[in-house]
Amino acid sequence: MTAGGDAQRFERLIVPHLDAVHSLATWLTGDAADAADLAQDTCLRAFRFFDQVRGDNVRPWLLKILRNTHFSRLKAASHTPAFTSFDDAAAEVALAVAGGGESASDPEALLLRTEDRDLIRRALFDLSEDQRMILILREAEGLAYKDIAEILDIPLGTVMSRLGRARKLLAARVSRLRQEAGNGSRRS
Amino acid sequence: MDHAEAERLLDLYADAELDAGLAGRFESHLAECEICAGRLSRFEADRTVLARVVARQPAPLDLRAKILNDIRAAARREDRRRVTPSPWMRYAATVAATALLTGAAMLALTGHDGRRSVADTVFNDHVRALATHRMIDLASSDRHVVKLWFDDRLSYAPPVKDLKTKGFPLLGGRVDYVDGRPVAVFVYARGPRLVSLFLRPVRRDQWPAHVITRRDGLNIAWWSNGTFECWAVSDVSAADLLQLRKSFLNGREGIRL
Repeated sequence: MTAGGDAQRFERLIVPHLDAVHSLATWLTGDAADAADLAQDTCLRAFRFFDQVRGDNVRPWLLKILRNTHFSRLKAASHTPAFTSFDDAAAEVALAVAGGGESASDPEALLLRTEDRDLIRRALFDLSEDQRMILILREAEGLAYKDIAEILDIPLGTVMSRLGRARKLLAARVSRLRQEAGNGSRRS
Repeated sequence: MDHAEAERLLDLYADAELDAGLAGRFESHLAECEICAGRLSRFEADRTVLARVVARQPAPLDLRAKILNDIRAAARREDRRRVTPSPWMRYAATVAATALLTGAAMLALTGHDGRRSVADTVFNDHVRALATHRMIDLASSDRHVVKLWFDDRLSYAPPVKDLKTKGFPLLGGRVDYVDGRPVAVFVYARGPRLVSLFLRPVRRDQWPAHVITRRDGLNIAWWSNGTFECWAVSDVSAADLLQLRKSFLNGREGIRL
Protein backbone atom coordinates (compact mmCIF):
# COMPACT_ATOMS: atom_id res chain seq x y z
CA MET A 1 0.00 0.00 0.00
CA THR A 2 1.22 3.50 -0.77
CA ALA A 3 1.72 6.08 1.95
CA GLY A 4 -1.07 8.10 0.33
CA GLY A 5 -3.37 5.14 0.87
CA ASP A 6 -2.16 4.90 4.46
CA ALA A 7 -2.93 8.57 5.00
CA GLN A 8 -6.39 8.07 3.59
CA ARG A 9 -7.12 5.07 5.77
CA PHE A 10 -5.70 6.84 8.81
CA GLU A 11 -7.81 9.94 8.21
CA ARG A 12 -10.94 7.85 7.96
CA LEU A 13 -10.01 6.19 11.23
CA ILE A 14 -9.25 9.28 13.30
CA VAL A 15 -11.62 11.93 11.97
CA PRO A 16 -14.54 10.55 14.03
CA HIS A 17 -12.42 10.92 17.19
CA LEU A 18 -10.98 14.40 16.72
CA ASP A 19 -13.61 15.93 19.02
CA ALA A 20 -12.65 13.48 21.78
CA VAL A 21 -8.95 14.16 21.27
CA HIS A 22 -9.42 17.91 21.28
CA SER A 23 -11.70 17.79 24.32
CA LEU A 24 -9.34 15.74 26.47
CA ALA A 25 -6.44 17.93 25.33
CA THR A 26 -8.38 20.98 26.49
CA TRP A 27 -9.05 19.48 29.91
CA LEU A 28 -5.42 18.45 30.29
CA THR A 29 -3.84 21.73 29.27
CA GLY A 30 -6.57 24.21 30.22
CA ASP A 31 -5.53 26.40 27.30
CA ALA A 32 -6.95 26.53 23.77
CA ALA A 33 -3.62 27.00 21.95
CA ASP A 34 -1.84 24.32 24.00
CA ALA A 35 -4.77 21.99 23.47
CA ALA A 36 -4.61 22.48 19.70
CA ASP A 37 -0.84 21.82 19.73
CA LEU A 38 -1.29 18.73 21.82
CA ALA A 39 -4.07 17.42 19.56
CA GLN A 40 -1.88 18.01 16.49
CA ASP A 41 1.14 16.28 18.04
CA THR A 42 -1.04 13.41 19.14
CA CYS A 43 -2.47 12.76 15.68
CA LEU A 44 0.92 12.99 14.02
CA ARG A 45 2.42 10.61 16.52
CA ALA A 46 -0.55 8.30 16.08
CA PHE A 47 0.07 8.29 12.33
CA ARG A 48 3.62 7.10 12.98
CA PHE A 49 2.37 4.23 15.13
CA PHE A 50 -0.55 3.59 12.85
CA ASP A 51 0.29 -0.09 12.33
CA GLN A 52 -0.37 -0.80 16.02
CA VAL A 53 -4.02 0.08 16.03
CA ARG A 54 -6.85 -2.39 15.96
CA GLY A 55 -9.84 -1.15 14.01
CA ASP A 56 -12.27 -1.56 16.90
CA ASN A 57 -10.25 0.28 19.48
CA VAL A 58 -9.25 3.54 17.90
CA ARG A 59 -10.45 6.02 20.51
CA PRO A 60 -8.73 4.50 23.59
CA TRP A 61 -5.60 4.04 21.47
CA LEU A 62 -5.63 7.71 20.41
CA LEU A 63 -6.34 8.93 23.94
CA LYS A 64 -3.47 6.86 25.28
CA ILE A 65 -1.15 8.44 22.74
CA LEU A 66 -2.53 11.82 23.77
CA ARG A 67 -1.75 11.16 27.42
CA ASN A 68 1.77 9.96 26.65
CA THR A 69 2.38 12.87 24.30
CA HIS A 70 1.21 15.30 26.95
CA PHE A 71 3.52 13.84 29.59
CA SER A 72 6.53 13.69 27.32
CA ARG A 73 5.94 17.34 26.37
CA LEU A 74 5.81 18.25 30.03
CA LYS A 75 9.00 16.34 30.67
CA ALA A 76 10.71 17.96 27.71
CA ALA A 77 9.65 21.40 28.94
CA SER A 78 11.43 20.96 32.25
CA HIS A 79 14.24 18.82 33.61
CA THR A 80 12.64 18.51 36.97
CA PRO A 81 9.74 16.12 36.75
CA ALA A 82 6.81 18.38 35.91
CA PHE A 83 4.35 15.78 37.05
CA THR A 84 4.65 13.03 39.54
CA SER A 85 2.77 9.87 39.08
CA PHE A 86 -0.47 10.14 40.97
CA ASP A 87 0.00 9.33 44.60
CA ASP A 88 -3.14 7.67 45.85
CA ALA A 89 -2.16 8.14 49.49
CA ALA A 90 -1.68 11.86 48.92
CA ALA A 91 -5.20 11.96 47.54
CA GLU A 92 -6.53 10.62 50.84
CA VAL A 93 -4.78 13.46 52.61
CA ALA A 94 -6.12 15.98 50.12
CA LEU A 95 -9.57 14.55 50.60
CA ALA A 96 -9.34 14.85 54.38
CA VAL A 97 -8.02 18.42 54.13
CA ALA A 98 -10.79 19.34 51.74
CA GLY A 99 -13.25 18.04 54.29
CA GLY A 100 -14.87 15.84 51.72
CA GLY A 101 -14.26 12.42 53.24
CA GLU A 102 -17.06 9.95 53.71
CA SER A 103 -17.73 11.26 57.19
CA ALA A 104 -17.95 14.90 56.19
CA SER A 105 -20.24 14.61 53.20
CA ASP A 106 -23.94 14.88 53.74
CA PRO A 107 -25.37 11.73 52.19
CA GLU A 108 -28.75 13.37 51.71
CA ALA A 109 -27.53 16.37 49.73
CA LEU A 110 -27.04 16.48 46.01
CA LEU A 111 -23.37 17.26 45.58
CA LEU A 112 -23.39 18.82 42.14
CA ARG A 113 -26.00 21.22 40.86
CA THR A 114 -26.56 22.49 37.35
CA GLU A 115 -26.09 26.10 38.44
CA ASP A 116 -22.63 25.13 39.72
CA ARG A 117 -21.38 24.66 36.17
CA ASP A 118 -18.55 27.18 36.51
CA LEU A 119 -17.69 26.03 40.02
CA ILE A 120 -17.45 22.47 38.76
CA ARG A 121 -15.16 23.56 35.97
CA ARG A 122 -12.89 25.38 38.44
CA ALA A 123 -12.98 22.45 40.84
CA LEU A 124 -11.92 20.09 38.06
CA PHE A 125 -8.86 22.25 37.42
CA ASP A 126 -8.08 22.18 41.15
CA LEU A 127 -7.80 18.41 40.97
CA SER A 128 -4.58 16.74 39.95
CA GLU A 129 -4.18 16.02 36.27
CA ASP A 130 -4.63 12.29 36.87
CA GLN A 131 -7.86 12.82 38.76
CA ARG A 132 -9.21 15.21 36.18
CA MET A 133 -8.26 12.88 33.37
CA ILE A 134 -9.94 9.84 34.88
CA LEU A 135 -13.17 11.79 35.39
CA ILE A 136 -13.15 12.99 31.78
CA LEU A 137 -12.43 9.51 30.45
CA ARG A 138 -15.32 8.11 32.46
CA GLU A 139 -17.92 10.91 32.29
CA ALA A 140 -17.23 12.62 28.97
CA GLU A 141 -15.99 9.61 27.02
CA GLY A 142 -18.05 6.99 28.86
CA LEU A 143 -15.15 4.55 28.65
CA ALA A 144 -15.19 1.20 30.45
CA TYR A 145 -12.74 0.65 33.29
CA LYS A 146 -10.64 -1.70 31.18
CA ASP A 147 -10.16 0.99 28.50
CA ILE A 148 -9.32 3.57 31.17
CA ALA A 149 -6.80 1.14 32.70
CA GLU A 150 -5.21 0.73 29.28
CA ILE A 151 -5.06 4.48 28.60
CA LEU A 152 -3.64 5.38 32.01
CA ASP A 153 -1.48 2.28 32.16
CA ILE A 154 -2.71 1.30 35.62
CA PRO A 155 -4.37 -1.86 37.01
CA LEU A 156 -8.17 -2.14 37.07
CA GLY A 157 -8.23 -1.92 40.87
CA THR A 158 -6.44 1.40 40.71
CA VAL A 159 -8.99 2.68 38.19
CA MET A 160 -11.77 1.93 40.69
CA SER A 161 -10.07 3.50 43.66
CA ARG A 162 -8.78 6.53 41.78
CA LEU A 163 -12.15 7.19 40.19
CA GLY A 164 -13.90 6.90 43.57
CA ARG A 165 -11.48 9.35 45.16
CA ALA A 166 -11.62 11.76 42.25
CA ARG A 167 -15.42 11.85 42.49
CA LYS A 168 -15.37 12.52 46.22
CA LEU A 169 -12.65 15.11 45.95
CA LEU A 170 -14.50 16.90 43.16
CA ALA A 171 -17.69 17.02 45.22
CA ALA A 172 -15.75 18.28 48.26
CA ARG A 173 -13.99 20.89 46.17
CA VAL A 174 -17.26 22.08 44.64
CA SER A 175 -18.94 22.41 48.00
CA ARG A 176 -15.90 24.31 49.33
CA LEU A 177 -16.02 26.69 46.35
CA ARG A 178 -19.75 27.08 46.80
CA GLN A 179 -19.26 27.99 50.46
CA GLU A 180 -16.58 30.51 49.55
CA ALA A 181 -18.84 32.02 46.92
CA GLY A 182 -21.64 32.17 49.51
CA ASN A 183 -19.41 33.87 52.11
CA GLY A 184 -18.13 36.25 49.48
CA SER A 185 -21.59 37.37 48.48
CA ARG A 186 -22.63 37.83 52.12
CA ARG A 187 -19.60 39.97 52.78
CA SER A 188 -20.19 42.23 49.82
CA MET B 1 -26.03 -9.08 49.44
CA ASP B 2 -25.64 -7.17 52.68
CA HIS B 3 -25.73 -3.39 52.95
CA ALA B 4 -21.98 -2.95 53.40
CA GLU B 5 -21.22 -4.88 50.25
CA ALA B 6 -23.87 -2.97 48.31
CA GLU B 7 -22.30 0.31 49.43
CA ARG B 8 -18.92 -0.84 48.16
CA LEU B 9 -20.37 -1.87 44.82
CA LEU B 10 -22.56 1.17 44.20
CA ASP B 11 -20.10 3.05 41.97
CA LEU B 12 -19.33 -0.10 40.01
CA TYR B 13 -23.02 -0.77 39.51
CA ALA B 14 -23.62 2.81 38.36
CA ASP B 15 -20.66 2.53 35.97
CA ALA B 16 -22.10 -0.72 34.56
CA GLU B 17 -18.96 -2.57 35.58
CA LEU B 18 -20.61 -5.40 37.58
CA ASP B 19 -21.16 -8.74 35.91
CA ALA B 20 -24.77 -9.81 35.42
CA GLY B 21 -24.83 -12.00 38.56
CA LEU B 22 -23.55 -9.33 40.93
CA ALA B 23 -25.68 -6.65 39.26
CA GLY B 24 -28.76 -8.80 39.84
CA ARG B 25 -27.92 -9.28 43.52
CA PHE B 26 -27.22 -5.55 43.86
CA GLU B 27 -30.63 -4.77 42.35
CA SER B 28 -32.35 -7.12 44.79
CA HIS B 29 -30.73 -5.23 47.65
CA LEU B 30 -31.61 -1.92 46.03
CA ALA B 31 -35.31 -2.85 45.96
CA GLU B 32 -35.26 -3.25 49.75
CA CYS B 33 -32.83 -0.54 50.83
CA GLU B 34 -33.90 3.10 50.71
CA ILE B 35 -30.44 4.32 51.66
CA CYS B 36 -28.78 2.64 48.69
CA ALA B 37 -31.61 3.60 46.33
CA GLY B 38 -31.27 7.24 47.43
CA ARG B 39 -27.50 7.17 47.02
CA LEU B 40 -27.74 5.68 43.58
CA SER B 41 -30.21 8.28 42.41
CA ARG B 42 -28.02 11.10 43.80
CA PHE B 43 -24.99 9.53 42.18
CA GLU B 44 -26.80 9.52 38.87
CA ALA B 45 -28.02 13.09 39.29
CA ASP B 46 -24.45 14.23 40.05
CA ARG B 47 -23.20 12.33 37.06
CA THR B 48 -25.73 13.99 34.77
CA VAL B 49 -24.57 17.43 35.91
CA LEU B 50 -20.89 16.52 35.59
CA ALA B 51 -21.40 14.92 32.19
CA ARG B 52 -22.91 18.18 30.93
CA VAL B 53 -19.96 20.21 32.18
CA VAL B 54 -17.37 17.92 30.62
CA ALA B 55 -19.30 17.14 27.43
CA ARG B 56 -17.12 17.17 24.32
CA GLN B 57 -17.01 20.32 22.29
CA PRO B 58 -16.49 20.01 18.54
CA ALA B 59 -12.85 20.47 17.55
CA PRO B 60 -12.35 23.76 15.67
CA LEU B 61 -12.41 23.39 11.89
CA ASP B 62 -8.98 24.96 11.45
CA LEU B 63 -7.52 22.42 13.86
CA ARG B 64 -9.08 19.61 11.85
CA ALA B 65 -7.59 21.05 8.68
CA LYS B 66 -4.16 21.42 10.32
CA ILE B 67 -4.22 17.83 11.53
CA LEU B 68 -5.21 16.50 8.12
CA ASN B 69 -2.48 18.65 6.54
CA ASP B 70 0.11 17.28 8.96
CA ILE B 71 -0.84 13.74 8.12
CA ARG B 72 -0.70 14.34 4.39
CA ALA B 73 2.68 16.02 4.73
CA ALA B 74 3.95 13.10 6.80
CA ALA B 75 2.58 10.69 4.22
CA ARG B 76 4.34 12.62 1.44
CA ARG B 77 7.61 12.42 3.34
CA GLU B 78 6.98 8.68 3.62
CA ASP B 79 6.28 8.56 -0.09
CA ARG B 80 9.54 10.26 -0.97
CA ARG B 81 11.40 7.64 0.98
CA ARG B 82 9.83 4.94 -1.14
CA VAL B 83 11.47 4.81 -4.56
CA THR B 84 8.77 3.18 -6.68
CA PRO B 85 6.23 5.66 -8.01
CA SER B 86 2.67 4.39 -7.99
CA PRO B 87 1.24 3.26 -11.36
CA TRP B 88 -0.93 6.34 -11.77
CA MET B 89 2.01 8.65 -11.17
CA ARG B 90 4.03 6.93 -13.87
CA TYR B 91 1.03 7.09 -16.13
CA ALA B 92 0.41 10.74 -15.31
CA ALA B 93 4.01 11.62 -16.12
CA THR B 94 3.71 9.99 -19.55
CA VAL B 95 0.47 11.79 -20.33
CA ALA B 96 1.88 15.09 -19.18
CA ALA B 97 5.01 14.72 -21.26
CA THR B 98 2.91 13.89 -24.34
CA ALA B 99 0.58 16.81 -23.75
CA LEU B 100 3.44 19.25 -23.31
CA LEU B 101 5.28 18.01 -26.40
CA THR B 102 2.19 18.35 -28.56
CA GLY B 103 2.16 22.06 -27.81
CA ALA B 104 -0.71 24.34 -27.05
CA ALA B 105 -3.34 24.90 -29.71
CA MET B 106 -6.23 27.20 -28.90
CA LEU B 107 -9.45 25.69 -27.85
CA ALA B 108 -12.09 26.32 -30.52
CA LEU B 109 -14.92 27.71 -28.49
CA THR B 110 -15.72 30.71 -30.63
CA GLY B 111 -17.70 33.62 -29.35
CA HIS B 112 -17.11 33.03 -25.67
CA ASP B 113 -13.77 34.55 -24.86
CA GLY B 114 -14.30 34.31 -21.10
CA ARG B 115 -15.01 30.66 -21.33
CA ARG B 116 -12.16 30.10 -23.72
CA SER B 117 -9.72 31.65 -21.33
CA VAL B 118 -11.12 29.50 -18.51
CA ALA B 119 -10.75 26.46 -20.75
CA ASP B 120 -7.10 27.49 -21.28
CA THR B 121 -6.60 27.82 -17.59
CA VAL B 122 -8.14 24.51 -16.61
CA PHE B 123 -6.30 22.74 -19.42
CA ASN B 124 -2.99 24.22 -18.32
CA ASP B 125 -3.69 23.54 -14.64
CA HIS B 126 -4.49 19.93 -15.40
CA VAL B 127 -1.37 19.42 -17.50
CA ARG B 128 0.85 21.20 -15.01
CA ALA B 129 -0.58 19.19 -12.13
CA LEU B 130 0.12 15.97 -14.03
CA ALA B 131 3.63 17.04 -14.94
CA THR B 132 4.57 18.10 -11.43
CA HIS B 133 2.86 15.16 -9.71
CA ARG B 134 0.62 17.61 -7.93
CA MET B 135 -2.71 16.23 -9.10
CA ILE B 136 -3.81 15.55 -5.55
CA ASP B 137 -3.06 17.68 -2.53
CA LEU B 138 -5.57 15.89 -0.37
CA ALA B 139 -5.79 12.17 -1.03
CA SER B 140 -9.11 10.98 0.30
CA SER B 141 -12.29 9.40 -0.98
CA ASP B 142 -14.08 10.37 2.22
CA ARG B 143 -16.56 13.06 1.26
CA HIS B 144 -16.46 14.62 4.72
CA VAL B 145 -12.69 14.82 4.81
CA VAL B 146 -12.60 16.36 1.34
CA LYS B 147 -15.37 18.78 2.23
CA LEU B 148 -13.65 19.93 5.41
CA TRP B 149 -10.42 20.41 3.54
CA PHE B 150 -12.05 22.57 0.87
CA ASP B 151 -14.14 24.49 3.41
CA ASP B 152 -10.92 25.76 4.87
CA ARG B 153 -9.48 26.92 1.57
CA LEU B 154 -12.35 28.31 -0.43
CA SER B 155 -14.93 31.02 -0.06
CA TYR B 156 -17.69 28.60 -1.14
CA ALA B 157 -18.66 25.09 -0.14
CA PRO B 158 -18.49 22.75 -3.13
CA PRO B 159 -20.70 19.64 -3.09
CA VAL B 160 -18.41 16.61 -2.83
CA LYS B 161 -19.28 13.32 -4.48
CA ASP B 162 -17.56 9.99 -4.61
CA LEU B 163 -18.83 8.58 -7.90
CA LYS B 164 -17.34 5.15 -7.39
CA THR B 165 -20.63 3.43 -8.18
CA LYS B 166 -20.74 5.37 -11.47
CA GLY B 167 -17.23 4.24 -12.36
CA PHE B 168 -15.42 7.41 -11.22
CA PRO B 169 -13.90 6.77 -7.80
CA LEU B 170 -12.88 9.98 -6.03
CA LEU B 171 -9.12 10.06 -5.39
CA GLY B 172 -8.93 13.44 -3.70
CA GLY B 173 -8.67 17.09 -4.50
CA ARG B 174 -6.51 20.13 -4.93
CA VAL B 175 -7.01 23.86 -5.17
CA ASP B 176 -6.05 25.64 -8.38
CA TYR B 177 -6.41 29.27 -9.43
CA VAL B 178 -8.88 30.24 -12.13
CA ASP B 179 -9.45 33.93 -12.86
CA GLY B 180 -7.23 34.69 -9.90
CA ARG B 181 -9.47 32.89 -7.45
CA PRO B 182 -8.99 29.55 -5.69
CA VAL B 183 -11.21 26.87 -7.19
CA ALA B 184 -12.01 23.34 -6.01
CA VAL B 185 -10.59 20.59 -8.19
CA PHE B 186 -11.79 17.05 -7.62
CA VAL B 187 -9.67 14.27 -9.02
CA TYR B 188 -11.49 11.17 -10.21
CA ALA B 189 -10.10 7.98 -11.64
CA ARG B 190 -11.51 6.33 -14.72
CA GLY B 191 -9.63 3.07 -14.94
CA PRO B 192 -5.99 4.14 -15.20
CA ARG B 193 -6.92 7.66 -16.39
CA LEU B 194 -7.44 10.74 -14.27
CA VAL B 195 -10.04 13.46 -14.51
CA SER B 196 -9.64 16.95 -13.04
CA LEU B 197 -13.05 18.36 -12.27
CA PHE B 198 -12.97 22.10 -11.56
CA LEU B 199 -16.00 23.41 -9.74
CA ARG B 200 -16.92 26.98 -8.88
CA PRO B 201 -20.03 29.06 -8.35
CA VAL B 202 -21.51 29.91 -11.75
CA ARG B 203 -20.64 33.34 -13.18
CA ARG B 204 -23.06 33.58 -16.07
CA ASP B 205 -25.99 31.49 -17.04
CA GLN B 206 -26.56 32.33 -20.70
CA TRP B 207 -24.17 29.64 -21.85
CA PRO B 208 -25.47 26.40 -23.35
CA ALA B 209 -26.15 23.47 -21.04
CA HIS B 210 -22.84 21.83 -21.80
CA VAL B 211 -19.91 22.00 -24.16
CA ILE B 212 -17.31 19.42 -24.98
CA THR B 213 -14.16 20.12 -26.88
CA ARG B 214 -10.87 18.48 -27.56
CA ARG B 215 -7.38 19.81 -27.27
CA ASP B 216 -3.99 18.14 -27.55
CA GLY B 217 -5.38 14.72 -26.86
CA LEU B 218 -7.43 15.85 -23.88
CA ASN B 219 -11.16 16.32 -23.73
CA ILE B 220 -12.52 19.36 -21.95
CA ALA B 221 -16.14 19.55 -20.90
CA TRP B 222 -18.10 22.41 -19.39
CA TRP B 223 -21.52 22.25 -17.82
CA SER B 224 -23.54 24.06 -15.23
CA ASN B 225 -26.61 23.52 -13.12
CA GLY B 226 -27.26 27.22 -12.64
CA THR B 227 -25.53 27.28 -9.22
CA PHE B 228 -22.15 25.81 -9.99
CA GLU B 229 -20.22 25.38 -13.18
CA CYS B 230 -17.91 22.46 -13.81
CA TRP B 231 -14.94 22.07 -16.08
CA ALA B 232 -13.67 18.53 -16.52
CA VAL B 233 -10.32 17.89 -18.19
CA SER B 234 -9.04 14.43 -18.97
CA ASP B 235 -7.76 12.03 -21.58
CA VAL B 236 -10.85 9.87 -21.08
CA SER B 237 -13.32 9.79 -23.99
CA ALA B 238 -15.90 12.51 -24.55
CA ALA B 239 -18.57 9.89 -23.82
CA ASP B 240 -16.97 9.29 -20.41
CA LEU B 241 -17.00 13.00 -19.63
CA LEU B 242 -20.68 13.15 -20.56
CA GLN B 243 -21.22 10.21 -18.22
CA LEU B 244 -19.41 12.12 -15.47
CA ARG B 245 -21.57 15.15 -16.16
CA LYS B 246 -24.71 13.03 -15.75
CA SER B 247 -23.45 11.77 -12.38
CA PHE B 248 -22.06 15.02 -11.05
CA LEU B 249 -24.14 18.13 -10.67
CA ASN B 250 -26.69 17.32 -13.34
CA GLY B 251 -29.64 19.11 -11.84
CA ARG B 252 -30.43 19.83 -8.24
CA GLU B 253 -27.13 19.29 -6.44
CA GLY B 254 -25.54 22.39 -5.06
CA ILE B 255 -28.79 24.28 -4.65
CA ARG B 256 -28.45 23.74 -0.89
CA LEU B 257 -25.94 26.55 -0.78
